[in-house]
Amino acid sequence: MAQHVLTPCEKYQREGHEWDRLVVKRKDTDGVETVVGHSQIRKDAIAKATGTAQYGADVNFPGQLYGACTRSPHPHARILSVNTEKARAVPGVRVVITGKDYPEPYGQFIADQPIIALDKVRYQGETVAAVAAETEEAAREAASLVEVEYELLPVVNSIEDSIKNETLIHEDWSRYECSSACFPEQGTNIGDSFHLNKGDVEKGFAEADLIVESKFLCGQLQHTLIETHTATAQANPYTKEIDVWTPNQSPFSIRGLIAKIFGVPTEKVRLIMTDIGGGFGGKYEAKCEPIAVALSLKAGGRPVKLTYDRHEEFEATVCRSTVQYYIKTGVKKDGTLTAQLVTGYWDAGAYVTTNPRVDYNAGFAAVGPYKVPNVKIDTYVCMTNRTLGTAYRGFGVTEAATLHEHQMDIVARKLHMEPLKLRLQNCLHDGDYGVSGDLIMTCAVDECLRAAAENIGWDKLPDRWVDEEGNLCGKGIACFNKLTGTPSTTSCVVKMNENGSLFIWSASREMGQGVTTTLPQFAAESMHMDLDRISVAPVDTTVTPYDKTTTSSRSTFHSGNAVLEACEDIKKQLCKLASIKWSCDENDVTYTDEGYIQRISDAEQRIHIHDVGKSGIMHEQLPVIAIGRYGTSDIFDPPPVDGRQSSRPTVMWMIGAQAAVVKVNPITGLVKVTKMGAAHDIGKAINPTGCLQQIEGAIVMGIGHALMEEMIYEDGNLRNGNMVDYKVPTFMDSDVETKITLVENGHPEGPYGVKGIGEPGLVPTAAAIANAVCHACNTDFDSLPIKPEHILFRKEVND
Amino acid sequence: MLPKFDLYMPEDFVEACALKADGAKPVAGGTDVFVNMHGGKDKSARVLDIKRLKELQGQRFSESGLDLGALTTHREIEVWDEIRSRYYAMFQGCSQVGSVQIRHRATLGGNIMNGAPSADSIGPLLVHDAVVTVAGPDGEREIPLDKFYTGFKKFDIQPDELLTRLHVPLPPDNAGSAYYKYMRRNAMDLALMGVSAYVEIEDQHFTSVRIALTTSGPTPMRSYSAEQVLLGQPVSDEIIVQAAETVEREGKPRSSWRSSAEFRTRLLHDITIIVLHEAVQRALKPVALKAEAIPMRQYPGLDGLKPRPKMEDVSCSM
Repeated sequence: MAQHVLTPCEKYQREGHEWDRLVVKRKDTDGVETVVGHSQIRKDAIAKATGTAQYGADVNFPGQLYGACTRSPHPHARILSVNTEKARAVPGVRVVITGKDYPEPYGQFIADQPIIALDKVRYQGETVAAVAAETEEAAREAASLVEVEYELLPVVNSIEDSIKNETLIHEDWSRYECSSACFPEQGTNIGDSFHLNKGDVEKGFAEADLIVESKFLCGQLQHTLIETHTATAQANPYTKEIDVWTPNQSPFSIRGLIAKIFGVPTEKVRLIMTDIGGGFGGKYEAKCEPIAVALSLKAGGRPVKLTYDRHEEFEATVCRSTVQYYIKTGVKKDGTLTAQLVTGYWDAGAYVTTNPRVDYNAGFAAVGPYKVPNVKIDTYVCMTNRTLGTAYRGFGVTEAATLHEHQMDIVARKLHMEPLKLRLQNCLHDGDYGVSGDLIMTCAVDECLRAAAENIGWDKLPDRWVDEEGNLCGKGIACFNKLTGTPSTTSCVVKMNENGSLFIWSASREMGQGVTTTLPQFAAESMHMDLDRISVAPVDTTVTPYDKTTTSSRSTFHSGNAVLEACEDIKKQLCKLASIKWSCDENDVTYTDEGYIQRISDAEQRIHIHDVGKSGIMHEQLPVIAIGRYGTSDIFDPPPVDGRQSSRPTVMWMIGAQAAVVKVNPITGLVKVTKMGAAHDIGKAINPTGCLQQIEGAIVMGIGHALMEEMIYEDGNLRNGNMVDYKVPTFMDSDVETKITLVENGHPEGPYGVKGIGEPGLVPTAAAIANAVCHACNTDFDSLPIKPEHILFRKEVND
Repeated sequence: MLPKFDLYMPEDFVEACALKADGAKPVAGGTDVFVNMHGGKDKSARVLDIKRLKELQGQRFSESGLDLGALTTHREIEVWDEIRSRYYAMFQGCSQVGSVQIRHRATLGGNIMNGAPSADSIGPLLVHDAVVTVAGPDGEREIPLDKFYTGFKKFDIQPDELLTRLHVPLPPDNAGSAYYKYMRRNAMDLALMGVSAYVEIEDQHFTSVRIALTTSGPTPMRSYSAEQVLLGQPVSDEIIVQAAETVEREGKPRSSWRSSAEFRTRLLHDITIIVLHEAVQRALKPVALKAEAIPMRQYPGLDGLKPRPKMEDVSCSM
C-alpha cells in the first residue's frame, strides 16, 4: 500500500506541533483548543490558487469608461497653463479634468494634497490632468496630448537639500487644514516632528563609561505590489451617490476622505472591496479612487475604471521613505545602557500623507526593546520633490530597528562583548518600564533572542570566518519592539444562516495575513463548531460594520475580540430559542464547551451546534444575529506631544528577534543569506502555518531590503522605476534555510492571548542581515541596501 | 499597455522578406519586442511572426559543429548535452537569461537582433567564432558574428533580409570556454557586466584565444588586444592578469546610476581573470568532463594587484 505522505499541516499536528521549519513554544494556554492553535488551510487559498479570486482590475461594468492620467515630467514646477483641447479631440474621449475641477485638497494629517495638481507640481509623475474615454488606448493617447506649460523650480532632491529650507515645497502650511496630530513648521520644509524625552540624557551620558555615536540610512523602497493600484467608480452627479470598487486596506477612512473631497454626506459613499493583490501599506491611502470618482462625476455617472501601469506605480503612488538617523549611546563598562539620543530625518516626499504616523511609530521603537533610563528622540518629516512616503509593512519600525541594532553591534564591539550577551543584558522583561514610562506587560524578547540565535546555531559560530571557497562569512542578530495603532476601534456582525452556519461581517481586509481564516477560527473555537461552516462575508461599507483600518498588525487582535463578543451573544440567543422550543425557562439552558445547547435540569435534552439548523429551534423565530465591538480608547493614555510619556501608549507591543548567517564573495561583492533563524513573541499562534508563511515571506522581502532594493533618483528624476532595474528578490534568491520559533507569551487582552505578526516578521530581517554582513566584512556599513559596490570598496574597522 | 497591431504569420520566406522590407516588425519569442511595445518604446503597427518559416527552424550538432536555426530557444541550448560538453560558455549564457518560462520562448536569433549590449548569448557565440547566415530574396550571405554588428542595435543586414541560421564550429578537444554574467539577483536580471573566454591549449601554451565583453560598449564585443596578450604564451597566472589589465583598459567602463566606473573597472578585471582560469581548466579536461561546472574560487593573481582593504582579521586563503 502506498504510504500516505503527510501534508505540512498533518505533519505539524502529528509531530507535537513541530516540524523542521517551525517550533511553537506553548506557554500560557492549556492546550484544550481544537481549532485555534491548529494549522488550517486558508479560506482564501483555493480561489486564489485556481484563479477565481476577483481583484481590483477584474471589475468591469457595461458602459464603462477607462481613465488615464497626464503626469508631470518635472519634479518641481509651477503650472502656467493646462491646455486640454487636443486631448478632447481624440475620438472616444468623454471627459478631461484638471486640478481646477476639484481643487479641494486632502490628507490624513494635513490637507496639503490636491487630487490633481493645481498651481504647481511637487514630484515627478504628479497628476496634472485626467481623461476618461471609451477605450484605454484612447484614454492614454489623450492623456499624452494634454499640453502643460511649466515654469521649472529648483529641485529638492534630498534630506540635506530639504533642511536647508532654501526651496520650499509648500510655501504656506497655514493655508491647509491641519489635524491636531501634525505639526508643520511654517517657512520650512518640515511637515511634522516627533519628540520623546525620558529621564535626562545628559545625566545618562555623564554616567557612561563609553559613548558611541553612529548614523544609519535606510533607502527608499517601493511596495512593488503584484496588483498595481486600481479603482472603478460610479458617481452620480445628480444624486451624489458614489460607489467605488477597489482593493484597499482602509475602506472606512477612504470613504470619509471621498465624502470630504466631493462634499457629499458619508452615507452616500459606498466602497466595495475586491480581493487585494498585495497591500503591505501601499494600499492604505487613496490613490486611484478620488480620480476615478471625479471622472465619473464629470462623465454623467458612467462607471470609470482607472488602473495604473507599473511605471506609474513606481513613480506616482507611494513608497517607504528614506530615513537618515543619528544615534548616540551611553554605556557602562559592564554593558549597561545609560542613555540614548536619536535624531532622524525622513524624506517624506512631496506631501505629508501618513508620514507623521510612520515617524510616531518609529519614534516609540527607536531605542528598541531595551531598558534605557534616559532617552531623547527628535525626528522630523522633511518634504522633498520625491514620490510620497507612506505606510510600509512595519510602519517605520523596520528602519528604527536597523538603526538601534546596528548601534548595539558597534557598542558590543567597542566593549569587547558578545553581541547577543549585550542584548540579553539590556533587554526588557515582563514588568519592566518601556521608553514612554509604560509598564511592559508581556515581552518575551529575551526568549526570542535566545531562540533566534539557537535557530542558526549561534553559539557554535564565530563572529566571522572564511569558508573553503574563500567567502567571507558572518552572523548577525537583531530584535525589535513595535506598538500597534492605539486607540482604535472595530466591530463585527455574526449572523447565523438558516442551516446553522455562520457569516462574519468584518471590515478587516484579507491581504495575505490570513484574517479571513483566523476570525472564523475564533468563532469555531468559541462555538465548538466546524470551521468549514464559518466564513467572512465580502466587505462593503454600506453593510459591513466599522473597522478603523487593516494596518499595524491589528486585525486578529482587535477583530478577534469583537468576534468573540458576538459569539457569546449568539450562544445566548440560541439558548433562548432552545428554551422556547423546550418550553422552559431560558436560564435553564446553557451552551456547553462541547458546543451543546443543553438543558441544565435535564442534560439529556440538548442540541449540538452542528444540528441547530435541522433542530427547528430557529424556525419562524427571531433571526440569530449578534454584534461584537472592541476598542482601545478606554485603556489608552494619550502620549503628550511634549515628551511622549504615557502609561499606555499602545494596547500591545509586538516583540521578536531574527538571526542571519551570510556569505560574501570578496571578488564579486555578492551576498548570499544562507540561514535565517526567527523567533517571534506572537502571544498565541492562531494558525501556525499562517504565522510561518508570513515570517518566511517577510524574510525574503527583508533580503531585498538589506541587499537589493532602492529607488534611485537623480535630481528628482526616478531612474529605476521598473521591475528590471528595481531589484526585488526572485524565487531563485529565496533559498534560505529558515527555522522559525513562535513564542506564545500570551497577551491578557488579546483573543486567546494573540498579539500581531503581519508586520513583525519583516522588522528585524534587514537589520539581522546587515549586521551579519558587517561582521563578515569587518565593516560598519551605514546604509541599506548594502550593495556589492559598498562591499568591494569597504573600509574595515580597526578598533 | 500592448497597442493594437496587425499580425502576419507567413510560411513563405520570400513573403516574409517582403513584409519586413515593407516595415513589419519581425518577432520570434517576443520576449523583447512585446515588452518594448507594451512600454511604448516600440510603436510597430505591423508585426511579422517568423516562427512558421522553416528556413529558421531546427538545430543540429555534427562533425562540423552546430547548425542552429535562428528560432532555436535558449532553453533548447540550456538542456542540450553537446552544448555543455563542447560549448560550455553558451550553456552558461543561455541558462542565465530571464527565467525558465522566458527561456522557453526567447530565441538566439532574437537575442542577436534585439542588439542589447547585455545580450547573454552573444559573448559566448562570439568567443565560439559563430557565423551568421542572413538570407533574402536574392540569396544567402554568411557573416562572422563579430562583423555582423555595425553599431548600437545596427547590423549588416538589408531591410528585405532575415537572420536565418547560425553556424558554430566544432571546438577541438583541447578547447575550453566560460562565461561569467554579473548580476544582482539570481534570475530575471540583465548582465551588469559579462566576460566570455575561449581558449585552446597545447603543451601548456595558449594556441587560440578569444575574449568577449558584454555590457561594456554599444554591442557585445571582442577584446582583440587582450587575446593578443595571451596568444602563443605559456599558461600562467601572470599572463592572465596582464590580459585582464588589457581588458580593463579596453572596456573603459563609465559611471552611471547603476554603478560607478571604478566598480565596473574592478569587476571587469577580476571577472576576466576568473573566466580565463575557468576556460583554461576546462580546456585541460577530457571532453567527457568538460560539461561539469568548475566551482568559482579565488584564483591566485587576484591578490596584491590592486590596492585592497587590509584583511588582518580574516585568515583569507587567497
